[in-house]
Amino acid sequence: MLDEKKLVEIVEEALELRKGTISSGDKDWYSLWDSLGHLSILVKLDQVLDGKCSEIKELSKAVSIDSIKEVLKLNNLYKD
Amino acid sequence: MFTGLSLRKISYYLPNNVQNNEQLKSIHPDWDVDKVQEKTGILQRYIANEDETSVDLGFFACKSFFKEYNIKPKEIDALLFITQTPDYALPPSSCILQERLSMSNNILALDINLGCSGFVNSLAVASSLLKSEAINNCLIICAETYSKFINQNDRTNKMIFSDAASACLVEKDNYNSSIGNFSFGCDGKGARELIVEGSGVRGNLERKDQKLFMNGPAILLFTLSEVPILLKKTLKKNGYTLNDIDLFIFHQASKLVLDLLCKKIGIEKNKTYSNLEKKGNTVSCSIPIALKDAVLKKKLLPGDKVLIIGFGVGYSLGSTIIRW
Repeated sequence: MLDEKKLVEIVEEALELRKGTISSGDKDWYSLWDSLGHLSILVKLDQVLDGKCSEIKELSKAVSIDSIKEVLKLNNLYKD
Repeated sequence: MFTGLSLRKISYYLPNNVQNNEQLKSIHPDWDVDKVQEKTGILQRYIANEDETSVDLGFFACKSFFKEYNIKPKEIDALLFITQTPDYALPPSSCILQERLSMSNNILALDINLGCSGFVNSLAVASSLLKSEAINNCLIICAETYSKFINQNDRTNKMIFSDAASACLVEKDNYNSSIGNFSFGCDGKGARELIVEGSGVRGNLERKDQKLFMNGPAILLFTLSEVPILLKKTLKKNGYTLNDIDLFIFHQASKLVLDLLCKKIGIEKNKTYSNLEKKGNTVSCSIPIALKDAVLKKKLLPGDKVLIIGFGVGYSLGSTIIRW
């Protein structure tokens, strides 16, 4: 089960951002969330969630932290 | 199980025009080519010339095949032409090729519109035709020119896909070889995830902007979810376990996909063969080219059991085990 902190960590790692970049309020990092960045995020998520991500097709269209949260919540993999 | 059938005779053709990542860096200084290369594992690609088509590439692959194995075109009973980039919507590319190669007028010539699973699924068709005694041999030609559909500013697709053609003969022989039972898969829900809009009759009647669209994340999730299941089904259907297989040859999608699949399924890297670095993703040609390269590099030897699995556009999948 993921929470906000862990999800942000995963995205930061996948996009090779410095820790704390996302919570800093700076939005420049979002340009790195292109198709390649999205692939990296899905790979990291799949690793952390023991392969459960590949079963959740909606994640391919979830291109923000909030939308990933929503999809994971629906699949009981995220808790506020 | 199709005992007494083999597909040891394979040739391929790659266009003369090679595009490496250093060239891409100078064309697109704003692209992080190294980062993409890290994910794809592809260092260069082959690009057909403007006036070079799938039938042309297929023709050269066949010429090379007939020369290499000293076979005459008229000896071929059936010709399956696998492509998603045909010269025309009609007539079939297989018929054009029959004439260009002066093959028999009694030949069975069929086009099959499949991509990355095309070789394996066509092998199933060829094996069944041979088993039914309808024919004595079948030439499977895979030929792709995806580069024609790639937007020159599309970083992902431009760095992955490579043009190529392969020719592979399925025949009855005296070797102790066999083609195993097949497993198939199809999920048309993924049809729009890898598509060239306007390339057929539906929509875009002005025939503009026929460019390849690939939803990489969706295809990655489909692959990681379905390929391991199909692979296990193929092992079961043939009475083998993972440890019984000498070599695994996956459709050469990208390094990222192949690494993740190996990890997920539990296959050691030294039991797989990949030629992505130098050949790129050649769509339907990727498995026959990898089989040929594996033989040349002595990674695949007579008697070895090789599991092949194709997956992608459609979505569509196919897999079998060959005793080489």
